[in-house]
Amino acid sequence: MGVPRVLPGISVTHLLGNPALPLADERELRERLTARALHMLTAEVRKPTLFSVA
Amino acid sequence: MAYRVVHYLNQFFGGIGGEEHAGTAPVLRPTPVGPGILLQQCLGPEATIAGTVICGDNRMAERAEDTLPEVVAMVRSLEPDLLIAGPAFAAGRYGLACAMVGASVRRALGIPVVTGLSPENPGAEGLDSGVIAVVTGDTAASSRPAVEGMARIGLKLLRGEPLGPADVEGYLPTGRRINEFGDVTGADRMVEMLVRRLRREPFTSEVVVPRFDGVIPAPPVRDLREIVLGMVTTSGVVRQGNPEGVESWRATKWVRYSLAGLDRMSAEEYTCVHGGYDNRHVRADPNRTVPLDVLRDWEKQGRIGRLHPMLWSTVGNVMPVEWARQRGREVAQELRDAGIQAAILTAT
Repeated sequence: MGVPRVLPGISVTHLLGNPALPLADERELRERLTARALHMLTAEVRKPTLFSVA
Repeated sequence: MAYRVVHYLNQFFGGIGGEEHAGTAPVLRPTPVGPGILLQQCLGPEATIAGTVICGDNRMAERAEDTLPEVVAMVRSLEPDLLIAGPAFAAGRYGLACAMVGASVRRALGIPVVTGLSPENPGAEGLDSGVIAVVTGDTAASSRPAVEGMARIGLKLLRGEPLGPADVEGYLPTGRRINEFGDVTGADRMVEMLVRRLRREPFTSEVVVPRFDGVIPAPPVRDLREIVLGMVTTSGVVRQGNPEGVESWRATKWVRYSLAGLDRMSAEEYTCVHGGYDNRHVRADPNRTVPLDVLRDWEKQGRIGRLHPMLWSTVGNVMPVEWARQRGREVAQELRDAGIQAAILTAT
């Protein structure tokens, strides 16, 4: 699609969460993904780049 | 009585001068000018060029807001049945001017408009679907076929004759589809196409595949603690009751909500109307696509400079690429105007 910085979500129906997890764990998961997204904003990219949650 | 045609030209083709005259304000000539002489020959006795409106390309590019109404008023004063603009070939500012004048005249006067553009002309992108653009070469060396094509299509429109398909008639596709009966079923055509492909023979797809542009990546953020961060989503999160009426598919609008003072997205205040996925998990907890809870905490902790109070939201479900491009431009402009340096866009 030409989007420069892409992070795959957990699922289409819960991108940044997981209803199967206890609330605290789900929040931690969201923090991990969001932190990754913020980090991606500081990364130099030259073409559409797929990052992983690492 | 002959149909009345108005012709739009830039300063160069209008005989005023080159780049040094590109700032020329619109002028009206009561006769055919430049390529208008050939155009009149091609139109024949059935249609008469009642006048020519000439305007500098820079004038139109830099001051469209007051120049377009001037041009439209001049066109209107000639009481035309048809506007012909250009041909502009591959000339960018001229092509954009023809596209803008064409769209404005269509809106104001409701008459058909024909222009002439090379497919790469920036005026061809996002062209008003009511403006028919005859495909031309890149330079004025291809004037004759361009003008002939524009006259032929112009006369058809004047007579109210239906236009054939774009590739047959020689105009840029307008996106309109017309149903017709074929002799061969879709299954047969599909297999035929596959066989041709396997044999490495030429074939033509019946489906136009949308073209995705490349986007030049923005430079990286140096320090997250110094930026204003924006939040955008195409996941369909809207206020409870969906007061703005955002459609669950092929959405025609985006909305903007202030999240000032909120620590998280609450399910009492926000819901989800996206019709392309099972959205119950988002309805139960909209933070699952708008991570306000996390970002607000981090803003308080100073991990990010400031979270902009607005959320920009729409439904991305089955949105045509052309629409998405337009919405994207609009929202990007909003982000820029809001002083946002980086944004997280959640897409489902």
